[in-house]
Amino acid sequence: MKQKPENIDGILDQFVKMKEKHPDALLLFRIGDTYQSFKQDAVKASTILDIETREKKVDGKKVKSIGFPHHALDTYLPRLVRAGMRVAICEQLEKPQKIEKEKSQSTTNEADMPRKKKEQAAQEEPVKSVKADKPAEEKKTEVKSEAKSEQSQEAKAERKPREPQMVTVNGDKVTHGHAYQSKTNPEDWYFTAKINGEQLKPQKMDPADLAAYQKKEMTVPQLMERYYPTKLMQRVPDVAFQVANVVSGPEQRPLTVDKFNVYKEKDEQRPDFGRYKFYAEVDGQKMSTVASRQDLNAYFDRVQTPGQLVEKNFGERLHLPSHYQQFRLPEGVEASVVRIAKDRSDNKWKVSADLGEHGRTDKKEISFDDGFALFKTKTATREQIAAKYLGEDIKTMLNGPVMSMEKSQSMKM
Amino acid sequence: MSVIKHEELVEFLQEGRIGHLQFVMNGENAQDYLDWCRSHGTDPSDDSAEFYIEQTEIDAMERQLIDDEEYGLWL
Repeated sequence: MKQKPENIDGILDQFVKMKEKHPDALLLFRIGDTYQSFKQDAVKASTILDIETREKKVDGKKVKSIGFPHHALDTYLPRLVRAGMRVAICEQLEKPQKIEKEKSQSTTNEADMPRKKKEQAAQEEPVKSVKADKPAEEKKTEVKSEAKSEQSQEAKAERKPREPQMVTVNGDKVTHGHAYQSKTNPEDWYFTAKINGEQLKPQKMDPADLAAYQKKEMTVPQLMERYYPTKLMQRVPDVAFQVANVVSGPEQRPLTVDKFNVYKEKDEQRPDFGRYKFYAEVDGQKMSTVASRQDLNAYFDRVQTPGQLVEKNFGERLHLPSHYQQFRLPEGVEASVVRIAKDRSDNKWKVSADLGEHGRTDKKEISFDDGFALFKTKTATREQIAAKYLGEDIKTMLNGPVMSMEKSQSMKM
Repeated sequence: MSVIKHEELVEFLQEGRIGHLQFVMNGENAQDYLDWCRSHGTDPSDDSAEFYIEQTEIDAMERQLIDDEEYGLWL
């Protein structure tokens, strides 16, 4: 990254003047691409941020200082605030004429645009706006010093209704999207937002996403897509949940979904104790299965119909053609290489595939329902069964080395 | 007042004195829960109330952090 040259002439004078006006604030000066703190503030910040102080020659005098890159402000500033510090951030003043410009801008804008100043400062550097956290923002030395009452008014102004950060396809307004650090587990960060003013349950963030968000490489809409995908999807109409859903069964026979709901397994003896499960009654058959988080969210947010969720979660159980249609062998792999047979050693039905010079896959046991779909209802084909159980293995082997051994015999059904 | 009431409800629920359905129906989100049931074509029940709570509940401390606009990263 290109470093801006340091220009710290007169910084101590500014420090002294600001300290006189704001003796209780810890001052952070924006100098080039860094934020720096001096003297007693540097010592305090050093302890809180765990950054070593150094002796620095400023205005011909040696003073204690600490510094960190400007992009780390969003990491360090919350730490200072949480440690109880009142922090004033002083953007560096370079050209006097810009002060005048800023004076007029700040007089007219700052009361109603407190948070936008932060964005402007980043975008229009070296504009002289000064940002501060807790309890409020302050302007640079000559620009303005604000009384505490004004600061608290400004803080209140920040809590005015926000402009939506995004609007979903359903017309829902997303606001207050932000990341925060857990107090009980400081290594954990969470993302949350509000939709139409309703607070969403926070979602634990992936560290890579947090880093990207801190660097502004990831936006709130992108984080919404990542952590609340079903909140952004098109909802299905209420009526889809209020009339009987029908799915296409074997031989295109319509199967009616008489009941569909969710419950938590309460039987401590079961291996899925404590898990959320879908319960369905379809064509007189009662069935349940552990539900994935994705499907639970889809159900809660009503972005999939009961029929779609039945197809996805009970497709095998109901031997639905739609369940098997999703499985396909990689291109070039013929049905003739697939073998489905009863293993004589344990009397279980297993599937394997002979990939010629790429070798033979392991045999994998198939479920009763998949066998039923293959042999009885005939809603599944051998290729589909092979793709379901061996799909990943086949892809890996086809991309792997060619075997030099003599070609093995293919055994067909 | 509502916070205290919520905490009492949490206590009652944890002690098994009330079920999930009663917990939701006595809380601030009763109407929202009923709307959710209606839109999902399901009757209010302990099971669906438990699921509703699981999907929406935010513990008091988390809520405090979330509501503090001077805490966290707001970009």
